[in-house]
Amino acid sequence: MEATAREKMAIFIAGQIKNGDYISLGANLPVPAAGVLLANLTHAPDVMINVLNYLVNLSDIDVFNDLTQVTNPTALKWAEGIMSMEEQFSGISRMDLCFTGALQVDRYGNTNLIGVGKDPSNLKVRGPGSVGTSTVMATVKKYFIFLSSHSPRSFVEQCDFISAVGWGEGGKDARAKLGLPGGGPEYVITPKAILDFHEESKQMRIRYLFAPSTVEEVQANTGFSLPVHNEVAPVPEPDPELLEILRARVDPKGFLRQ
Amino acid sequence: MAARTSVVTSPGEAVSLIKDGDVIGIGGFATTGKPMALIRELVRSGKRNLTVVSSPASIDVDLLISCGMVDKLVCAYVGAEAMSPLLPFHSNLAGKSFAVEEVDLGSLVYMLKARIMRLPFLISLGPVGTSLPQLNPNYRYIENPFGGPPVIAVAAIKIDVALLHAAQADRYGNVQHKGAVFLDPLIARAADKVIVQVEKLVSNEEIKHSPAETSLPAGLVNAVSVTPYGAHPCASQNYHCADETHFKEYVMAGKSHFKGEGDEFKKYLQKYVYGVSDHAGYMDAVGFKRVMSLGLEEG
Repeated sequence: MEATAREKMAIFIAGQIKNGDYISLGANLPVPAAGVLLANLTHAPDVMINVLNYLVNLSDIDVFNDLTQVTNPTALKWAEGIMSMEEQFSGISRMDLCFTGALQVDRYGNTNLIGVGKDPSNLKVRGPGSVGTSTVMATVKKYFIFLSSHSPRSFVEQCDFISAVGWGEGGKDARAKLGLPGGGPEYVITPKAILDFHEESKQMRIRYLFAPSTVEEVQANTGFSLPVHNEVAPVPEPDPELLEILRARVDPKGFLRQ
Repeated sequence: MAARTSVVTSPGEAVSLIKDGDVIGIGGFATTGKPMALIRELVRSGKRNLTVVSSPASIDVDLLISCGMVDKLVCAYVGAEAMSPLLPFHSNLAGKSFAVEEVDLGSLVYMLKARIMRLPFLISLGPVGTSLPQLNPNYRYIENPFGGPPVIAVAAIKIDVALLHAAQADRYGNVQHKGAVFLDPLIARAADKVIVQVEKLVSNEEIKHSPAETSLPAGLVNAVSVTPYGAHPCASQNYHCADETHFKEYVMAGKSHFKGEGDEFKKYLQKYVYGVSDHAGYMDAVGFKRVMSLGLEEG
């Protein structure tokens, strides 16, 4: 069976992880979780993963059973350490990578988990809330924005609310002007494409495409004008060996194949 | 010579510490470690006009909203992750039947910490540039006296009664979580009164075998209620996983309420909350077989 979009996204994420990185798995983000676990089982045995308040390293684990419930207390059996919430939030500046989802994202990678609609007392869609993303994305060294679908409803000209600041109003000094110490969003990952941010303007652009998506199709599904990176390319087909490890050890229940 | 005081009490007695209009603090995290036995007891007590300050929440906060008990919510997340990214009463009624003071989890840590230290506020960078200062009057931009861009003052948040779940306690109120503590120690210390439900009661000698595990000391805790499986349908660290089937039953019933098929949710409440008199009755309604299927190995 050929790799699904979810599997390709997970394998791309795994490829971005360096050995020794300190990474947090957010709530309800099973695809990024799969990528981190795959990296830990393969080229990055020294990754330190923050799940909930636990610090875990899974390099010697045979199988990871449930990607879909990160707050599952089974993670405790792997914990090498436990942090209080205060220690965790006070130490985000040491964190290399984390992930956030979004109801809406704009061209500068500002994200909204609060809700859709103009009137906060009468929202069209009430989201789950910002969780820890405001503070974590302000401070973490870099982060990826993950969306499980790519549509003009989620890629918007302007977010109705901002729960985590990406590149603010644009420009590479946008975050410094606000006093945000973290490195900001590096990639936006969707089932159609991987988007990055222009070095100077920090405007989102198409970097890689997931076959069979095309530039035109991605642009048509984005609610703002979306430039293309000079070296736009297809995401490479996953290494069959990595795919096998992903299926057998990270995702035995087949969540990524659904 | 006076004997040391036991704080062990029934959930019914314990929640009588809560009054209409109180600010309650709820511990745990999303679908783990939620004080559900106390929450269901609180629903049966019929308290009204509560302000709820919670760690990331799921069915705990949603159930209180569904029964019309919440006037104001201070909580950074309501959802059940992949089981149900949104919960029915929170997502349909937020801002409408109850007010929301939008917070992020990092700033909530500092708001609780400020209360504990009796500081008027602490500084947070997280909300800078976000919509949170427009959505929460307790987040305000202030000048950085040392220069540089403005920062956000997040006001201290006071809690009347904290409701928490933990693994074990002794009769004097020494509590051990035996795992992650989430915001529980902060919520407890920011509260005037603290109620903890535990999986089991242990001896004071057992507590003294592992004093480093004591997450809340005696003296901080006003009431301990012994409610095995009391976090159900949420997970309990070292004890059981979340009950996905029950979550789906709840969410389906809640959704049917908003489609105008109100009976299903009334039936849910009757079966699991109003139609039973205590936690033992709830466990009967859930069934031993179901509870035994939630072993940690399966996760």
